[in-house]
Amino acid sequence: MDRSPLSFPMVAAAAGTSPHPGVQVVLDGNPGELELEFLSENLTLRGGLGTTGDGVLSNEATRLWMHAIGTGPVTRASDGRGEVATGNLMGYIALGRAFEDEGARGTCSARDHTFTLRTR
Amino acid sequence: MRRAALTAAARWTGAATLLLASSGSMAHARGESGDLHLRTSEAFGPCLAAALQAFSRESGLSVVVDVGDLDPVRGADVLIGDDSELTRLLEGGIAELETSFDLGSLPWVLVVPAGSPAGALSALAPERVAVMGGRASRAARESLQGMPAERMRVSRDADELRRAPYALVPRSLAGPGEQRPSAVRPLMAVTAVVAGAPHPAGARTLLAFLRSERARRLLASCLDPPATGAAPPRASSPSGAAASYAQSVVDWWLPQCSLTHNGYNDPRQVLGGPDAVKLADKDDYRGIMSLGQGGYVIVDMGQTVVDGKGADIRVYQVTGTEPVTLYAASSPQGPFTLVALREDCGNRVTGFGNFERSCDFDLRDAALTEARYLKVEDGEIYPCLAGGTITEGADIDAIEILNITKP
Repeated sequence: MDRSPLSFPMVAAAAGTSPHPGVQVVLDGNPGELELEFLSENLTLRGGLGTTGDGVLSNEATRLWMHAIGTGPVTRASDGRGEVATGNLMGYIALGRAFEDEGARGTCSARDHTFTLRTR
Repeated sequence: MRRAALTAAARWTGAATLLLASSGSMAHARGESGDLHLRTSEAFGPCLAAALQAFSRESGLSVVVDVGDLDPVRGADVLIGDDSELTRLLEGGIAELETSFDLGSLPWVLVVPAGSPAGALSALAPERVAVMGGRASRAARESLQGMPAERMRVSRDADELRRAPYALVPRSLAGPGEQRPSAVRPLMAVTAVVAGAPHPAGARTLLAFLRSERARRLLASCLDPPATGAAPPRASSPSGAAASYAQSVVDWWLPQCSLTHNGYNDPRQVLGGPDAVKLADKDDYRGIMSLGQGGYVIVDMGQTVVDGKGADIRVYQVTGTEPVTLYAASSPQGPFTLVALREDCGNRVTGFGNFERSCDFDLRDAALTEARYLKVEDGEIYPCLAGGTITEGADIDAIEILNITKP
């Protein structure tokens, strides 16, 4: 399975305060294709990262299918906004080219995937 | 999409007994115009021919079989697919839960050239290994995740899979090579009528036939009988102590999106024994908490669960196989140790039909000897905004301690 990073244009916003404050991070333009729903407390994000059965096409033209739990510390970016420089991702990831089947370029369930949320 | 029409001329004489026994619904079914449409996935298509031909002969109803993804249902009357393929359709009311039942299980097999030495498929195969694609094959592909992607060929073409000298496929798609058992969880063929089916009477007539002993015998050459489910919920533990279910909620969280769109957000519904109920209307349940996209509930079990013989904890979940992640701790504040990640929660519970499901967890898998606080987290992790049901995420009914005293 190719381990090159995949990137996606995302949009983030605060989402709810009770029972815990949250942050919603969604794919810019197609929010239901790639959706991250995080609990946001103590400068840490934790929550689910998911795609539908169609997966989501990355900037690198690789399609990603994902059902995983992400956790990461929030740090301050140079412009003052929050970002996650290194997050842990536990769960299912499958890759394919744009029109290939889920997993055609590999499937990996693991507890040590990583993710990054950077400002743009 | 491949379509195969299965049509048999009616043989009314031979079917006289069946017609007499169900003349009302059969007459109604015959009054519906057009063919019945059955939608199934690649693995089960080859299993159905004999049973459907017998059904058509006996009922006079023609059945067109469409093979491909079950979702969307594309005008189908009846669905047959793996548990994992039907979960979202059943819980969203697209297929009728009350009509669903298991037809049988279909094991995965490793296919190698006859006489190949023993060993892992990845080591044996000098060329690419063919693996069935689609939602139902995730576990199979995960089992080969150590193999470089370029050595795998993921395909949904039944002929291609049968031709492959090295393959990991459901037994129904195995080619002429030697078949060896695989540790991948067998597929479970589940059938259900599509809500608002174009031919509702015909669809019910077909399902009644598929329930019959005659149909079971015809399917038996391909599908194994459904496995016996987990034991029914208990009033006492093996040690004689009262059965112990979650006693109180310590903490919970659902994303705001799930809180807005889901209909079952009350964490107290996971307390006590299994009591979930599916009411008549689509999406109408009682006694569950839907965990949304990656939500969780932390419960105090009221006493200590210990690592004993076999599984120590059972989570009850309704309608499908939605995965569940479990963490355990000895303090309500944690730290919580991961016991199992995204465990399919689809074991049948005896006496609850296809509605109540369960999944078992063993503290030993987390190197824990005991725990009292359990965190149950959604493992489906499906995008909330794309969800479309009010039961997104694993739908938790109850959490039970199986081992209370030390063995």
